[in-house]
Amino acid sequence: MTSRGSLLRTRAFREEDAPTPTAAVASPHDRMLNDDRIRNCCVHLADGAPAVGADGALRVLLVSNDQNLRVKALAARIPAATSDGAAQLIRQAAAPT
Amino acid sequence: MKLQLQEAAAQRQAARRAGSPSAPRAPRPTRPALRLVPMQSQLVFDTNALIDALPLVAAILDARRFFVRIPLIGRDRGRDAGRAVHTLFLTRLRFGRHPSRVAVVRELEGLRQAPVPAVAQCAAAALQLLDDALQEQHNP
Repeated sequence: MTSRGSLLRTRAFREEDAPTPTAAVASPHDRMLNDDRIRNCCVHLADGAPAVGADGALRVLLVSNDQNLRVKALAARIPAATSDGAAQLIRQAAAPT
Repeated sequence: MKLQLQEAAAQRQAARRAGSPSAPRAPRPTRPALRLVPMQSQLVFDTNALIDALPLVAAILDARRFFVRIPLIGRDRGRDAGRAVHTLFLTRLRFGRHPSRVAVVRELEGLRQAPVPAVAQCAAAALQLLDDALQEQHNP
């Protein structure tokens, strides 16, 4: 699925690069940390809807071992897990109900 | 008059006692457990978590059950870790279409000597993947 929501028939590697504000042009407030970019990517993927459904179904899950980034994501109402936590969720999803 | 005042004080004390922290609280409604939904959930991997959980990501990609997003892979490509992951993913996703793998193999062999263990492991895993693919082609 592309970032615009269209479904691709095959797996494909796609690369996008966001413009970096140069130090001469941008003020410190305009400069965005990579953490913010990751969080914004999650918010964009959630597309305005809650990232967690009423039944607990996850639409977007941030997997990061960085606690600060996880806190930032949770502040934006994006669920976050460590790689171990994500592995556990994947195992639960794979287990027959 | 005095009796009325005493009764009012007793009522206030009783009301305070009812609202005191020692009184049992009503149970809160429990939140449903979080769960991933195949072909619906999107997993966004931080680059460090990606390197840490590379076998897991590879398994997800192979199973094609969840969508995997890696936001900063292009941005971090200049750094060793980002380059290793970038090369690994290009290798994984494109090796079937690449007639010549010399450049990829050279880069991976260089990265295998990297002092960062995660990068070295990543490059070694990618090389192993290439070897397996080549062996599979020669001995179907």
